[in-house]
Amino acid sequence: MNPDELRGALERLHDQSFAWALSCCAYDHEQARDVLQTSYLKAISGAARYEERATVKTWLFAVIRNTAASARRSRLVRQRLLALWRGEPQVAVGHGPEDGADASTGAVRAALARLSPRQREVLHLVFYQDMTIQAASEVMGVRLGTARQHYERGKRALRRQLEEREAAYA
Amino acid sequence: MPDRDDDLRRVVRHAAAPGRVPPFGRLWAAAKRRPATSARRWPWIAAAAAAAAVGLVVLVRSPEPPLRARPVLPTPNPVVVPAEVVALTHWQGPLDVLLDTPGVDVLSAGPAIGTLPAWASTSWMTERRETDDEQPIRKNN
Repeated sequence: MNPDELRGALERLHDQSFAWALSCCAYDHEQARDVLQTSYLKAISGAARYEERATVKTWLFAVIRNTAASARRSRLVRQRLLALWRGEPQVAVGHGPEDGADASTGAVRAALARLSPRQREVLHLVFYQDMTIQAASEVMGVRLGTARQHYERGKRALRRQLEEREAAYA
Repeated sequence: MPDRDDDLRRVVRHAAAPGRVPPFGRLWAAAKRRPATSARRWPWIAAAAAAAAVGLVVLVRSPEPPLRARPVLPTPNPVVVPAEVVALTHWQGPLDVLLDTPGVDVLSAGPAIGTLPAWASTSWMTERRETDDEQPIRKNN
């Protein structure tokens, strides 16, 4: 795939890529933008090379996921070092700003945030991105059976949390 | 037949919707302008390597390695001799003067071949030697 074709493919996937980056960055728009830009940079510089072993979407989503994980680790280390230097207690890394999300959206995002990262990822990929569990497992870099397990457990946990919330409001 | 996970799918789709998406062109252009991470790190890596090299040179060339703790040598205490001991070493018996007799140096010094000792260079020894020298001349006459 030549650079122009790659650019076209990335442009077509841009909205979905941003939604995926947002999910990987706990719905922090600023971080999601930075992660997506870094992922594009990896594609431009050849640091991440598309070798046509999977679809462009699967490859790109794996790049975005890895970039987000790396950024999250760096941020965590920076925050801990800063806290250590200031003599403050350890900073709990929570979720980013909701960016104008309504209450119901915020509640669902909070419920998603309480799931394990793998469960959250597979639910997003299957439910929002309309990927198969097989494709989701490739993005996540896990076996199909593992992805299926995360999918089932994630659904159960999310359903339970939403029911508890409804019961609390009823 | 409706999917039994439809409710969850709908909820997740609604929650995961990104709202406003930054334009692709802007992110792409910014990514193209941005140097790669490795390129951004190069100056720092080079600076760190140079600093490490300078540090190493300083360590190697310094006469005493600054990082190594210098051993603390015990300072030798000056020997203090008690006054009584000093007095004993300088003690002289009251009759020591009797041992200082004339010619005592003959007893304490060994003979030296070819040279006369100091006590032998007296006038009577010289005179006697001259007389001995003269005797054979007298015989010849």
